[in-house]
Amino acid sequence: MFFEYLKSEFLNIFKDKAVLTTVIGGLLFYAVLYPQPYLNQLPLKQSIVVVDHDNTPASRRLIRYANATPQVQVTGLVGSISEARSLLLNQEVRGMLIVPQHFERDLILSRSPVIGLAGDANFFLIYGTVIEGLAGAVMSTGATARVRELMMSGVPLSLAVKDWSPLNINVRPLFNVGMGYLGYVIPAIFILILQQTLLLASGLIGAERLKKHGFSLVHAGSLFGARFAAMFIIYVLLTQLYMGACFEYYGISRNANIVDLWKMIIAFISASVTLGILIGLLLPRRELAAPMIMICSLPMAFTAGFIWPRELLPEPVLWISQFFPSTSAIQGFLKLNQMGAEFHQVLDHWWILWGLSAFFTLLSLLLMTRSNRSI
Amino acid sequence: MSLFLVDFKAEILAVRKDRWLFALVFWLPAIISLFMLLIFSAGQPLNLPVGVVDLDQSTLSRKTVRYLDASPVLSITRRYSSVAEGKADLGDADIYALVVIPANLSRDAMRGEAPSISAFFNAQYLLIGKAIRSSLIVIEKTLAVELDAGKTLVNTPVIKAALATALPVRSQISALYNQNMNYATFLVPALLIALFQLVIICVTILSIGKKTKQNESPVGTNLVTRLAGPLFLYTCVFTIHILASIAFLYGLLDWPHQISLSGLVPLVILFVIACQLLGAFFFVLTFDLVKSLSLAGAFAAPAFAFLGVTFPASDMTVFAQVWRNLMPAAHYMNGFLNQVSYAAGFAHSLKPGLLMIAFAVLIPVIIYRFKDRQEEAL
Repeated sequence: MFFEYLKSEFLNIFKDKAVLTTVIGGLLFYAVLYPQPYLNQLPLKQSIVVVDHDNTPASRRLIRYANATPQVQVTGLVGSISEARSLLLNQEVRGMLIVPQHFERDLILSRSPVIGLAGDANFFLIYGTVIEGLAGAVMSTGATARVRELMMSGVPLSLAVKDWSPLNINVRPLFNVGMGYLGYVIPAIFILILQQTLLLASGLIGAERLKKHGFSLVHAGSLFGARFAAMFIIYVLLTQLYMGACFEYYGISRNANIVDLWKMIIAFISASVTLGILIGLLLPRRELAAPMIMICSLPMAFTAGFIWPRELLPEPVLWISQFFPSTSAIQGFLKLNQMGAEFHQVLDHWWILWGLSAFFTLLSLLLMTRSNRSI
Repeated sequence: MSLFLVDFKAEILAVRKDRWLFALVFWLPAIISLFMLLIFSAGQPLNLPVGVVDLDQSTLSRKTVRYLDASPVLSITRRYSSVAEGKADLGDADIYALVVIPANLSRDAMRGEAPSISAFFNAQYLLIGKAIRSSLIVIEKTLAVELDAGKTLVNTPVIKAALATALPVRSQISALYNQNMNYATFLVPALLIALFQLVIICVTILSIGKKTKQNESPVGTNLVTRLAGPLFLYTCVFTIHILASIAFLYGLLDWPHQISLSGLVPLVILFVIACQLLGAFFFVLTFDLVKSLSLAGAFAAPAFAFLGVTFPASDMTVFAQVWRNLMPAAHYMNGFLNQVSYAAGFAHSLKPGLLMIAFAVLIPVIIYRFKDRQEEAL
């Protein structure tokens, strides 16, 4: 009985054009489309405008330093702050650098002049980049002044260059070392895409046959098993495509031990497939699958912890998000693949995925064996 | 005109009868919006768990640890006796950063030999990593100034001058327009509009699909004109929906804004209509509910990434820039930010408004496809 069902499940999937386009077409489409915004990795050379009230060699050196940073590029020099502001408003520039009058004099007299830096904080990433670049330029100017001062008081150049600051914190990135956007977004979002297309496909295959009438437990079990097996096989293969060829192509690191990775993949696909079957049983019409599943994508992405720290999520949000397989899967896969964690460090996530699988299976079987269904 | 009213009323009844459609139109967008708002209720990344390895155990090293813990962004949750232990917890994401204070920190600092504290942060979580990095840089400066001022004070007993030697140039950083650097005010409006774009497109397809099915056999009247009533209903519903969500965020929650109604309302209406046109377009591509909804989903589900709020639009590849211009939400967002931040009036909504009006080019395509199909049916 089971194998007959399995055969017809496969036939159903491959006969149904809508399902096939979602599964194969959707996955290929997203694999190309989703990384598009991030292919340039980092926003660099953001244009800034300078208001130089000083116009001295020192102020010009500061502007040169700013221009030399990879983050910003001086594209304009205006006479007043209001002019700079209107450029910023029209988004012709992303930030401004304001050099006060008597900058050079105050620098020489050790009066610690104040440089004004500003950016449009509506765009966090650009703002961060601009301020990082400008603050770097200001620091270099300060360092130059400090080194010169030290040398004047008799400290040799080599020592002055090394010890101009009494202490430093050497801040270094780990895992996504280049701090690029691709390596940040893709390994996580591809897991979500796998889950969402899987759910959508399950919703589309619909559960017409599965929800006709109250089944006996054995009957329900083998129908459920066949659907599970078919989807599981297809998606395990597609996961190989995503985590193999696609990660390779986009240069995403794959540090996980292959056995650990497989253990996680199996748990993740099981949880997603069982959830998919459950959704199929709950939705009365197959056209509802796409809207209902897609509107959940954003909440799923933002509770998975790779964008916004899970430590800061309110308790109810934290609880609800545990019911999405993507939440535990993304954390587990990121730790294994990107951060080189051992399997015992991701056991929590793994067990949650199995717990979800059991929970969704139970609910599905319950729905299928109930005789008077009114959903 | 009366036919229009009949269709309008019939659609109201239809929505009330179909509880799934009702949910999609009314309470699901509201619930998901609230959920998104709750996610970012903390506003900023705060108290992120950080580990420390203090190999020096001196007054200075303890002071450093105190400074780290005092930073609003960081919270020292773990202390390790060796770097290896700390690194394991980094890989586990139990801590987002590990600060290693070297032995001889105090001695080197005293001798003026510029000791170096190492800090590793998890850059896989980019936003979190960046927040940690900036706060570490601030702490570095604070510590440096304090150490330096302490030394200089011995020679020059004027605090101001001592500070100046420690920090030859200071900078005053102003975050314009989103002054409190709140992530909720930064992300939630864009997330909501991405959500509404998806919902409006899907609802349009569902509604047209149903109408087409009902009217397939009787020809007589033009099918396209029969769609005006239902579509107008959703134009009204979603315009009110979006305006209400904006009123909730900027009115009730009192988020800072400079919105003028004359600038905002046309934007919202044009956005809703542009989305509806896209929905109709997706439907006439296939005349199949399921397929057109899958297409619409594929188009609208990843919209958020293309809005240019997180990753700047100007730094996207050419393909991504073209793609994002096909989205009403991208144009709407440009206009909306002008409204919220820059006290821009109606004039500043003009360009995004016109770009959304450009979606009207879909109207002849939609009409032509419907006619074609009706003739086929004959």
